[in-house]
Amino acid sequence: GVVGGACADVTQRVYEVEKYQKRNKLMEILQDESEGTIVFVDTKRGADFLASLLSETEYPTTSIHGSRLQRQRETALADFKAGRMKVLIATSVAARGLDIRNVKHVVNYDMPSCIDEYVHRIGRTGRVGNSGKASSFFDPQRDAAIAGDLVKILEGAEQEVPQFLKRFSCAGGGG
Amino acid sequence: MTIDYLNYLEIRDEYPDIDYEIRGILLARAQNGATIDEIRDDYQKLTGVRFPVNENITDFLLTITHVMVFCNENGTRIFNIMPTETTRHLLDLVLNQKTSQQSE
Repeated sequence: GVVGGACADVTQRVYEVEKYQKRNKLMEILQDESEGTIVFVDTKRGADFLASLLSETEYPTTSIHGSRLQRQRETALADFKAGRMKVLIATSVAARGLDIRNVKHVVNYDMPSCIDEYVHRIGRTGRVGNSGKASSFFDPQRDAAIAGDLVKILEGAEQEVPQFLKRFSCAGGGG
Repeated sequence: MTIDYLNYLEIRDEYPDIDYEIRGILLARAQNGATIDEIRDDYQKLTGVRFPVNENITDFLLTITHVMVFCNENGTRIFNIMPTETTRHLLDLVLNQKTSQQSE
């Protein structure tokens, strides 16, 4: 089917955020609503660091990454689903093959490097008639290559395309 | 030797999250513990800011609650973290995860 088609029920927002501003931005976003949020990050250590910070300051948070045993991943996921943990921080690889659906909010703290992965991630929210939310942190230093594809996906799903993204998408050319 | 929390008030004024950040760094490395160099390096990578303490780093780290240190057989100081009420679940995960060295 059409790649963007699956995302029509998901409100997608893209913010321009530099690497070291991401933490503040995440805190800001979580203040509106934290429960049922899955946050995708790049590194295992980054996942645990962020989970520790969030747990200590505001929200019970757990994490899933490639060093975890399958049993541990399932436990973390069960804690998240049951609401014992409001936020789940995950690396993409580790989240594959896990039944993570009907998430209220997907946050791409680190953008994936390919658009298929983006579509896959946001497909985890907004199922069966419920509207979902996806928020993505676009770091111009790092994510320019995906800008063009991202614009297409947003347009295809009739989402607002932020100005800065159009700018990067033109500058990036046909990449 | 007494370690005075008050000595570091200025640091904490300027870096209000530093205690949380150090505990987060140590939690992520809890399987093997962390040297001062590793802590400084992680701090820079994770926050984008240079580690703000240049002298008596061990003293400083030991003013952070739940931080502990031991001296290994090579004489290197290895830091680690005790569980707290809010992070115990994460520490359990880290301590029991696969033992391969983290490369990232």
